[in-house]
Amino acid sequence: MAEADGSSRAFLGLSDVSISADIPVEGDISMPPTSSSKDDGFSTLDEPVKDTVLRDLKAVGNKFVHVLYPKKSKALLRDWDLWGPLLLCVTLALLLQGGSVDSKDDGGPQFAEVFVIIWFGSLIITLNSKLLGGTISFFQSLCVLGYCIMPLTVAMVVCRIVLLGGSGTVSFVVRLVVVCASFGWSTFASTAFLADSQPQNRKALVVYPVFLFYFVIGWMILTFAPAQ
Amino acid sequence: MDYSATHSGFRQQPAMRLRSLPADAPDPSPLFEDTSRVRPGAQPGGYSAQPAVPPAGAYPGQTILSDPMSNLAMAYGSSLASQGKEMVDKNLDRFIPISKLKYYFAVDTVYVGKKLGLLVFPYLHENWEVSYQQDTPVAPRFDVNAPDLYIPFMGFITYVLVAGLALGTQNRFSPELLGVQASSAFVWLIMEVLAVLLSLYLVTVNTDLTTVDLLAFSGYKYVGMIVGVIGGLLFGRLGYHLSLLWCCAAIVVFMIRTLRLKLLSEAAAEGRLVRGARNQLRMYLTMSIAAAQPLFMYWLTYHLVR
Repeated sequence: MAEADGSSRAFLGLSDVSISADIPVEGDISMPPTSSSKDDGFSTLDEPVKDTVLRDLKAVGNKFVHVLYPKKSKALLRDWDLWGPLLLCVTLALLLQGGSVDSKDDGGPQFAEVFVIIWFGSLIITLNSKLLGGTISFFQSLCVLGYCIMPLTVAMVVCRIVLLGGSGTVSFVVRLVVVCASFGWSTFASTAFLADSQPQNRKALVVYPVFLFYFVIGWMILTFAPAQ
Repeated sequence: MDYSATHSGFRQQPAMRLRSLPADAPDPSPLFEDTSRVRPGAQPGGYSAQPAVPPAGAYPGQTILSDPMSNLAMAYGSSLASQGKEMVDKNLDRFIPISKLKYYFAVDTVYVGKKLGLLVFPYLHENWEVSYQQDTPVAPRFDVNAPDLYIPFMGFITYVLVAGLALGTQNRFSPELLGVQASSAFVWLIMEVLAVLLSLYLVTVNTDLTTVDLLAFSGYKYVGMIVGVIGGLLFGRLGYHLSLLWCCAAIVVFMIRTLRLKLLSEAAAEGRLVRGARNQLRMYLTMSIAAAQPLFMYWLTYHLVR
């Protein structure tokens, strides 16, 4: 009732202003220039390219640090970007080249296959999480999953170094330990971010496909054998 | 902040409009947020009277964005974008009912555990009826008899990965085979669902089974297949055959007891002997659907275990 009174009062106020047709209405409707301190975002057109690149690199590096020490922080989720996952995916796919799984094949997984597995797997996990009623958006989830591949990429580098020294049982055991540790780390890091978006009784349901995803990547890393 | 929405690239600002929307509500409020600040400058009547003279001392990059014409263009563009999004959502909803799919994913860990137990050991379960709540079936979270799509979906993916694992231990693996396994299993699933739909149509059964329900029921056999293949990996051919036999028997009993309540008339479902050609036909239909499951399970796994 108060609102109706208020609106009727407003109409009352307006109704005694008369605008006759012969009084021209004029004014200036251009936007006042906003100061640069308020609108930092769009003035990036004018800064040197080095600043833009460095700022993005800093953001990416910051997220790598977050993956290394996974605490329940919202930074990865809030400022998602896909540079880091792209970089990690390309590095991992390149490192997985040049292996021989079978004498008939001409190598391990091809570059495109690794790419497709990683991105398709992330898509399925995100779809599952959204269908289960999660509050995380599509790109945020892709960002988290991509960044958490980092421990596995590090394990791949270590495995390649270990394989330089020969591929006997000792090296296999070392590689197994390294890959298992990094697989556990990846899964733990991504659940620290992803499972927060689900209620308690569904966390395990979201974690299971993540576990499968990193298991597949870890399996690809472990079965990598360099061409003789 | 709104003007930065026009910048491309991997920055998060372009997504701020996406992020401000809740997960599944196509509400247009970001549209109103964006244009309410632009609207004072975008009166259409002002264009003829107002040349776009930038105030002195403005940054050169800002004249483009402080021009009322470009404000209007941006408002129009953002309204087009959200209109397009609504149209896509509406049309997508017609083909793939997302809201109905969400019902099948309304599960929780306890339900999944109980259902997996039922799929492997259905002999002690007594009440197979799906409970309803004012004509709509209750969400799977609250009723262990309701079909869901989480287990079939995860079962399918796990089956493809376990198949890759099994082939890898025999040195027959290459990553293309993952795709081959996945697509062939998927095609068999689709053909089975189509065959069941066709036979339901031919027998003119009056049932409330939807296509997605049938998809869910057909997808439950992946659990048995995974158990069989893992048994075969751990214990050799004997282990494979024994575990597959156990899972086949379990899935046959599960399917018969579940479908009986959905396909047969009430009297026959309660076990009383009802004569009549129609009821016999329905009983045969239930039996054949249930008998097809072990066949598929064997067909899709025997080449994985040597």
